[in-house]
Amino acid sequence: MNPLPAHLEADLLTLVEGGSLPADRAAAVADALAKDPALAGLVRAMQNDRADLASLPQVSAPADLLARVESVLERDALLGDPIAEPQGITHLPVSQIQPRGRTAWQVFRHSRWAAPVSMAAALAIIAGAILLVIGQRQSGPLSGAGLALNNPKPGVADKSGVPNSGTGVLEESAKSTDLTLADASTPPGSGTREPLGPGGGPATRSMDRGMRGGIAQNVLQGSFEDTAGDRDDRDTLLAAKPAPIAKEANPTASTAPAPAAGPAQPAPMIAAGAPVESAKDAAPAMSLDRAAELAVEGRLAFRVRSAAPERAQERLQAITNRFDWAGAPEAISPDEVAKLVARLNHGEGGRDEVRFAGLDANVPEANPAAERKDAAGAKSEAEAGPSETTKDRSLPPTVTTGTGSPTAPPAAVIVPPSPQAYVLTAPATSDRLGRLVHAIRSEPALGDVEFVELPRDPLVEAHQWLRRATPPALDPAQVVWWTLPVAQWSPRANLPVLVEPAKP
Amino acid sequence: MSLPPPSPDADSDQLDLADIAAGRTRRSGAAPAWSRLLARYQDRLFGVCLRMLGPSTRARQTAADLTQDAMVKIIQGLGTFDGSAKFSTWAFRVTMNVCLSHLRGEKLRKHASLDGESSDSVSAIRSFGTRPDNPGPDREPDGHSRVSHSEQQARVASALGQIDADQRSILVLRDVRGLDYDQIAQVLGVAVGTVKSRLFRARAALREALEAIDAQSTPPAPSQTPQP
Repeated sequence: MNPLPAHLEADLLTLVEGGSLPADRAAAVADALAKDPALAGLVRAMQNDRADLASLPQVSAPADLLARVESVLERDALLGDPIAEPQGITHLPVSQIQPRGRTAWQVFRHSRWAAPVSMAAALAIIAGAILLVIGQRQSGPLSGAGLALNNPKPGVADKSGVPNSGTGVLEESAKSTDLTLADASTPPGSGTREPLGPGGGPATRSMDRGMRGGIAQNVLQGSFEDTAGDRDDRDTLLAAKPAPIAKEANPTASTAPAPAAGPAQPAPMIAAGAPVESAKDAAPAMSLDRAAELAVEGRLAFRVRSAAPERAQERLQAITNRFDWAGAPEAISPDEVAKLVARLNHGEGGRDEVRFAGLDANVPEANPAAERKDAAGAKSEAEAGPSETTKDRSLPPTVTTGTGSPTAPPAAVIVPPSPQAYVLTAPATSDRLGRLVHAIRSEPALGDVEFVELPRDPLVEAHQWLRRATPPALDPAQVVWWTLPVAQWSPRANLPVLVEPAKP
Repeated sequence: MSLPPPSPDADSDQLDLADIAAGRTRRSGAAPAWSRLLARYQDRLFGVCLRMLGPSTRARQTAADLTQDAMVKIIQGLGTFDGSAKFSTWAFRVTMNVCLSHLRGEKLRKHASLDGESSDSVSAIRSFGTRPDNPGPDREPDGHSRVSHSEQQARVASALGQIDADQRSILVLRDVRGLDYDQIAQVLGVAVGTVKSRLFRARAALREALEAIDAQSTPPAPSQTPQP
């Protein structure tokens, strides 16, 4: 059959289905059919076919069709078919209801032994509590040494009056071995950290401080309770270098030294020998970038004025735990203080000396006789004016001055009320330092914090000494799997933190 | 010429659909709403499936299976029925999709298999719509006037099974089920104009299929073999 025009197809379809056409189109269709008998026969045949199709017998669905549909729907519902199940058959068949087994507790509750066993257990608990109370009354309080070793709170005295260093037995034994702490900038798995210290060498903290921890504990005890042994230790320390300590006996007699005169002396935040408060007020705030530079050189320290100094180490520990790049605070032991004092005074010829403010904080109190002598010497020195060394050097704050002559008697130490000093390790970057400062300021127990710039000499030595024994240097170029380029490694610095009691 | 008026009981449909939507499963001891709904349509849906399958030896069983699948899909897909069309139109659409999917799958399987069923098809065509004890019609050479009405229906049904599935679907919906152009367009998802043009071509294809069946059933003329 030749294809017909579309309009003619539509008209023919209307004709086949018995529809009516407009007169003109009906005339056109009649004309086309008259001209083409085959087309007329096709139309008639289509009409017959349509009638045949319409007269096809109506069929009936199988009788069980609905039952089959229902079974399929029920099966899908039971199998948890994700397709929405019909809402009409949401009920589960009875065959799906299964009795639950009784739990052990239910079995016990319904047994005849439940009540006797419960009574016996209650009696046992009561008897145990009574025995515990009686035993405690008979044996008295526990020994202070045990508590001191296991109490993690630093500086808090136990019942026997022994303050705690915050290091337990296990912790100390672990610290007694060489441990190398890896920070976040260390490639995973390396187990070593290669911070670049001011001396150019790695400044990894290698812990060998089992003894130091114990001594530090004793010194901290001394700040709370003066025992005979501690007094002996302190006397030993003071006798080793009495001159510088003697001048501390009268801090009010210390005069503010002149600013740094030499080019090697940086402008300190707080002038040496000046009262800390006034120096702080006069000193401008140090920028984070400058603090980072000083940290790289090992000449940066934190001074914290805390309302609760006894909780300082605990809160510092919490802060460093929060940052994976910060090392835990490490209390400075009296042994280290003695070494530091000796280094600071080395070569000074008994003249005025400078001590790092945060480190002399742990020096125990001096005996009253020395204080008196020192007061006398200080008075005479105050009358004579500041010494030459004091004028020439710019020295750190909180500081003590020694006697003017080597023959001066041992000096007494004036220690502001129980300051403490710790050493943190952290990357010497402005970002990290800023976060540390922010974290410290956010701690209510710590309070205000400020940067302190340390003089170049001799505190560099002190910092070198503070930087613990280092492991073998790691060649960054050999660490091929290291994902952070060597250029992006941040140097780490030891940051002394002096915690002073806040002024009321 | 009287077309079967498959007038959908729209009111009953709406009542049952409302019952289903409201979660009312039974109403005073009557069957569930979805069961009533399907019972009202099962014959019509089964008829559509049977006509779409065409003549074959297992057409009735296959049509029952397809109708079952279609009804399950209708019940499970009630949530997607938005009421924009009549429920009957939507039910026919679902059923037609099931049938067309089945026929396309069958067509692929036939292409994949090498064994033809031409002889079976011819015999099935001859037996479609007839009783088992009623053999195929003895057609006369001039036959149409003497063919009984049932035989004529069987021929048409057989021819319907031979044309393309898409053309078959439009003929079934229009002539067997009596849907109007708009409903056919909704069922098939095409425009009304497309429905008209396809319908005319489907009728022409059916006519060619009937002529082919007539040509096959006409015995060949005796050959004039020369006598030695």
